[in-house]
Amino acid sequence: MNYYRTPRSSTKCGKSATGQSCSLGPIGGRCGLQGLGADQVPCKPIRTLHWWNNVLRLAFALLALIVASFVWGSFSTRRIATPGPLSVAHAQLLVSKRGGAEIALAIDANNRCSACHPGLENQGGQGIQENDVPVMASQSQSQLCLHCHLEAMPDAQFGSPHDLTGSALKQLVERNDRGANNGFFSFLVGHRPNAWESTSTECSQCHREHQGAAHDLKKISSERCQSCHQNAFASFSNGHPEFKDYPSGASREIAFDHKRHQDLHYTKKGASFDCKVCHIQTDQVGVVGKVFRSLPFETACASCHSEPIRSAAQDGLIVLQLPSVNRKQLSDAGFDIGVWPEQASQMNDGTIPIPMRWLLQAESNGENLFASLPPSGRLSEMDMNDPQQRQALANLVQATKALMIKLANQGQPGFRESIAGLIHGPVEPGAQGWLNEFASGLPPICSVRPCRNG
Amino acid sequence: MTSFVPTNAMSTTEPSRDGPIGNTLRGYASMWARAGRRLVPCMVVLAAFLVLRSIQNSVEAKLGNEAFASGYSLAAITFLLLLLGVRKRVITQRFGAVALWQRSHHYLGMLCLGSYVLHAGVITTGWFESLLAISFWAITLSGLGSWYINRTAPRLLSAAGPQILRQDIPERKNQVAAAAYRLAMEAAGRSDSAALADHYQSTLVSFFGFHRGFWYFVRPTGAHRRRILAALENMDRYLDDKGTDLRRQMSQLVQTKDDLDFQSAIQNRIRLCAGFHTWLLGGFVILTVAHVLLAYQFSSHW
Repeated sequence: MNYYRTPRSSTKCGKSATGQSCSLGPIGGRCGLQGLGADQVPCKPIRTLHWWNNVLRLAFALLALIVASFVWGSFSTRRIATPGPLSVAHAQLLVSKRGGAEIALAIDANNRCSACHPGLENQGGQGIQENDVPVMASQSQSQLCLHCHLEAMPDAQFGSPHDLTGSALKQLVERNDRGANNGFFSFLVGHRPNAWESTSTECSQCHREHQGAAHDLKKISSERCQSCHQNAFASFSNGHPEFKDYPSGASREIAFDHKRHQDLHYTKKGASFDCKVCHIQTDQVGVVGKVFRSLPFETACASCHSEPIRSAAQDGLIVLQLPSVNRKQLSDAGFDIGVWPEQASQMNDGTIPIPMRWLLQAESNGENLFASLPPSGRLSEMDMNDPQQRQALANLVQATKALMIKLANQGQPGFRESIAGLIHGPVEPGAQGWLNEFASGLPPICSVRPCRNG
Repeated sequence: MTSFVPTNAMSTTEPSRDGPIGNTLRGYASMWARAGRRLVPCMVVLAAFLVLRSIQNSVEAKLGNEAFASGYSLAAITFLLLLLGVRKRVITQRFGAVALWQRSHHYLGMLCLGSYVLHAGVITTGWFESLLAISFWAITLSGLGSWYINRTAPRLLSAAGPQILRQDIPERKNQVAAAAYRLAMEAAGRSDSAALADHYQSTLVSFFGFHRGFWYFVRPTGAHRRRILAALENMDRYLDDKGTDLRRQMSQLVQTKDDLDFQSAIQNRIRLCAGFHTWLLGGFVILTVAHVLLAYQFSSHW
């Protein structure tokens, strides 16, 4: 019985194209009539469509195999395997060796994948290097991320969302048993712990690379956020859990002390500390709607700060100002600061004005004077349990005294010398007038005789 | 593509006993029945697509790698699609008719397309990924082309006379050419029909004896046939009654030969599209395996 008359053999009668094929057909690729007699004219069998189909299938499969082994085999061609261009932030790191930067990072151009992907270091090149030491190894992909990012995110080593420990997250987040874990399709995808339950969250779980140069790595889908944030609420004012211990006094990227503003300044003025005033711009739409991290000075700060700034500018610029230090703490730690006004010896307070900071830095050994001080410049934030900070404060006191004595003894020439030291050379003629005016507040020469040196 | 429908395909429909209203109602009923036959599987495909999307969302909501979920869904659907090739090679009715498998293949193909877009999006970047994407789109588009041709070809083929298997067409052409030759010989033996024999020798030998050429295969039209038939009809004034009768028989043979050429062209088109749909399959499977290995090699979690 012949169900399907398409020939499955690789050859067919050579005369089939003219409709004169014999019933015998080719045998083993040769004409069946061959050798039967002189009166029978044998044909030259031709390939069937079935044969050509198989050959083409095989050819494409072979081609694919060659491409796949080419991609897999040679490390230098790994860029062929990349699923897409890197984001701008990461692509620039991989372009060439970056020397002299804060992080001495060097990536072998032929072995760029191993900078972020573990287990590829031994296939050529040296992968990522930190301080000329190759980072080899059996490290996870997230650990490789932290080679560069740990400095900015010291708590990222916890490997959990928002750089918090699992227990800290657990305190913050209430588990919702009706969440995705018990969803209808959970039997298909299996049980996966919620992110806050996990102790090994990978960076790439939220931050997806190889999405192109324009892709924002910080952009995270709502689904991912909702892996933890499952409790729905209508708005911040209606249904959102209470913000506990907010605002926090911890220092942030932007030097703005929420807690001090709420507790001190707003209370003093009798104003309510409303988030919306500084974080909502009604006539603009950003990434998260009308909510912004910071608004322009005119919108957020001017109502309180514009008048004091204007007044301060009218009264003049503070150049010299004695900071207040806790003499007892310094003394207990073995630092004798000598003569220092009693009124400025009770507690660490005040700041060093910027012009005075420049003058101090211009003096000998002044370059590292502020390295261990708080970035905000506020002495009240100094940790007196830290030996380095105690030493830095004692050095600051001595340097301040030395500067005061120098200016008192030498007057305007001393000030000019400090300015010259600051700009590493003589003052340009064009700036002489300004400098004369600036120095006019000081006596031409020392007005205090005899000067005290301690 | 414009297709030629031979003249003998114009069949006359029997007048309905129910009148025009009955015809209209029957037409609507038939249309709704056809729509229903397609609507149900389409709804099933849509439901399956939504299930896949939900699974993907569910994985994403657990900070999992949704690309692996959608990738494995795609692989499973591709495997089911490949089963049609296996079914075609098994000569049995035990697993259902091939036509049913073919229909399922078409709807699964739609689901596969949706699943692919979920997995990789429409635009793909990267050399290797693009190669894989090109293979996928080539297979998909050839599949869609094959589906369209399979939908339209039966109507075209049935319009061109009784359907003949592709491998039988050369033999039939040979028989037609032999019949035309005998007819020409008969005309040559009679002085009042000799013009037909002369015309056969000068024009029709090449028509009956040779293939129609590449462009006829690309776009089969009836222009050449119409020219030949017009020329034959113009010869009637040189022929007596017997000669005219022979000319009519010759015209019929021209028509038959043209129908055979048309059937050959359409069937070749079907085979080419179906062939192209399967040529890339092996390569696609190999590239897919390499893609999975690369994904596991370079991904930090799945």
